[in-house]
Amino acid sequence: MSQAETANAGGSASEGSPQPAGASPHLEQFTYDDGIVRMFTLATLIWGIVAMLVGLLIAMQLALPALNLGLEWTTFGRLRPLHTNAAIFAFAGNAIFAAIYYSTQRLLKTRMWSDKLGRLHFWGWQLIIVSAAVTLPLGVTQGKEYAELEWPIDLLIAIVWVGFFGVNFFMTLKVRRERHMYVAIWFYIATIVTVALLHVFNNIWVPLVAAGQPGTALGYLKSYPIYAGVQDAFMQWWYGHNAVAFFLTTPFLGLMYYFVPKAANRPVFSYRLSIIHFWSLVFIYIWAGPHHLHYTALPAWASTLGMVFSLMLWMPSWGGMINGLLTLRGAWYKVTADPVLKFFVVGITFYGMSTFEGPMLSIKSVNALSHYTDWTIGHVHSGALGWNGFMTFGMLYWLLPRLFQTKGLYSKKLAEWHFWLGTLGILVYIVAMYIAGIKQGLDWRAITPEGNLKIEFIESVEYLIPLYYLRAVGGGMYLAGVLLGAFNVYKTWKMRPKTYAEPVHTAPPLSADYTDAPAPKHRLSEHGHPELAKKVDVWMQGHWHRRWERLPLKFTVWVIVAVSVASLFEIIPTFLIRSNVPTIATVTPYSPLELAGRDIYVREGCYNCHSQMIRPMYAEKLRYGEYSKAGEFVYDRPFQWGSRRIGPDLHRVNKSYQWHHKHFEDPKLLVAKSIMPPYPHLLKRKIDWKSVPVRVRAASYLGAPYTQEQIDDAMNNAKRQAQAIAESIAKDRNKPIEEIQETQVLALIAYLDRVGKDITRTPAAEDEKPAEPGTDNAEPQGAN
Amino acid sequence: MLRGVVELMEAEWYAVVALVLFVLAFVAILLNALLRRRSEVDRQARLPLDDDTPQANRTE
Repeated sequence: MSQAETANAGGSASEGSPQPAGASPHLEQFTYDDGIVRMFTLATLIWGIVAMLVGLLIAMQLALPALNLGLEWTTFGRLRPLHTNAAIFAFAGNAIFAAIYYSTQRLLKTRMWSDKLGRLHFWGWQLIIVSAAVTLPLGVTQGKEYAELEWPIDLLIAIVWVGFFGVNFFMTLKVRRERHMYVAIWFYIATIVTVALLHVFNNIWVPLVAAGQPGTALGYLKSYPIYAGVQDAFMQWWYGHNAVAFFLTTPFLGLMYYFVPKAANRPVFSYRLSIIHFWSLVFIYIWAGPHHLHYTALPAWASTLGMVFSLMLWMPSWGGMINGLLTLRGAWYKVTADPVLKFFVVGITFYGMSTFEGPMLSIKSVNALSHYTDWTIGHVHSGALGWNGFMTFGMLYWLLPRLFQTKGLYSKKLAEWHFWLGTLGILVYIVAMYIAGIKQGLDWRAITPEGNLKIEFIESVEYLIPLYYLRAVGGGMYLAGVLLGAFNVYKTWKMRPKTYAEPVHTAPPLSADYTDAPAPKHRLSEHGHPELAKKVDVWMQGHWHRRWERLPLKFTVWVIVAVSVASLFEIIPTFLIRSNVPTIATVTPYSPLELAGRDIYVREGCYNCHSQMIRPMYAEKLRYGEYSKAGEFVYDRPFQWGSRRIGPDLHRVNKSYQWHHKHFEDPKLLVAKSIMPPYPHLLKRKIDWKSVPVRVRAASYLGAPYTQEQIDDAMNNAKRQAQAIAESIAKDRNKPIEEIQETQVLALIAYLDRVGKDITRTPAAEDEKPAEPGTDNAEPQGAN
Repeated sequence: MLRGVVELMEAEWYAVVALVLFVLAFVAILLNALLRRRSEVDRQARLPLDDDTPQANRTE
């Protein structure tokens, strides 16, 4: 049929039912922007390889710490955030953008609103990733998991996400030619608005530079969050868990609801179930964050609420998984021959597995065993490699011949190899981590009949080394599969035509004078029923929801209401109710040197291996001391509770200055089997004295009660404290003081010596002057 | 004053109200999804399959 013929053919298939009054009879012609999809596809592959390479390197470092080559930029603490950020925001991020740009245009029968905004989005996002890849190894970090990127990059993310991506997406909704928004579009809307909310509210900070000029260039990039301690932890895991929900789940579900029906060539098993799946996830997910903080200083009501809602997630998650798998009804025979369907089937199965495991891990008694262990690492990798990775590769293999306009893939066999290597790789990986995690959990809580600890921490580490190698084998297999995939992509790309054809599509525009079909009549007999019952019957026929589905703005507002109500129910009491964070009179702000040392702790990413949160459990109290209290963290910006114990908890570390100094020089000097790398740069590089008063002033802006005198004297105070610690170490280690003086390790040692000690101090009598910041350590103690 | 009142409140009832809100919302969604007309749902479900067939091609 020629264009002229189609233009005159009329028809309003895309208008959908009900037929609008006065529909326009003419058809409009348009093309899709597949160039942007090709760009995001390529970026997905490149960053996927980078993320997995870094992952493999740091996995090996846990078995062979020397693999950081003695460089500060390649230690586990600095590279692990690079791995997680690259996997989440670079690999999965580019994949969801490819999916959204491809499917949105087709589901809405329109080209994206602005090609230019699409390109700005693409290049802006790549700039963010490159900025992350440069700053994270340099130690520029906020010290909050998956939100490590510092304030200038945060601003860039907000601009690119909202200003380029969000505006382009919502304007495309406005100019669409299909009135009903398919369920995949709902998932995309939820993703865009919720990620924007999460990003903005978890990244409210005061840049150091607002308080004065730091002494180094990197100091200009440093910031302190406005939240402290318990509240910062709550906001962070509200963000962290919902990053999983709205960055790694909802957009991939949108992808599933579009690409699985395409690949199986049949509609989704139950559209009704997809609606329930969508709204249930949007309502429930947002509450679940506090399950990351069980048995911590977070109030118990909040973590219980998080657990209950996490358990409720079983229902919609499995509903969604079943919906995805049953879409293949009658097409299962195709799975054996089609690598695309293989990836999708296993991807959706991993969605089911990890959404079963997640709620299970949120049960407090299970979490008591699993938290801080490698079990969590196994869990997240079954989700990331199985669900996100396999859905991405299924989509890529389906897209490649369409994007590059070839007859098919270069090699179906290679895609099959990719699938099998990947599947086996994931299994090896997660089984190794499950064994490691459960063993760690059991070791840490093991008690002798006499009531003593049965296993030293380092013994629990020793057992893990072979499992770390096995994990690297699994990860290596997965990466090998991805490299085969990259080769396949390259060869398929080589088969492309000289110029890409640009098919012209036609559809009628949405008529401007569209009026909704009138509300249906009630189905009750006129007599014998009250008016209210008739109204309820009309309401229950759901015409109002179908109207929303045609009204993107109202739909979006309801999504925002759903996530905001849930968030505020947890945030308001956490922030306002006094009893949530009981004040401890003896807890005072850090001394200037300790504050500078804390910033070094954050910079080195110590939280990636060490917690600062002793849970109220018998074995933990024996191993680490008195359990951590909410009131101890009121000056901690950011909180550093951590989520793993590759090394022991550090809240009440209780070691001497010289022990710490020797340990940073080379941990093996003190703990022969330690897997912590040496930190020689801390023993050489000098403290940035100029930044010290700036840090104190910034902390003071945020509410730490320093006096003006203390702020003015901050640099001298820090120098005095550092000198005293240096003298003590020089004496105990029999080293010339010139080697030790002014080195950064002194600040870090001062911090580690202070942290968790305030609760053991004697409260000042009421008529006495309250304790001043850092007075405990103004005259540093010797070895303890 | 409001802040002062909120600060002194206990938090347990938040969790109960949250649960009730969720259950109400869930029931509304369930009813909404189940009471849709079959013909309408079938058409909506087929949207991904009807979206990619160009009525005219320009290959030059």
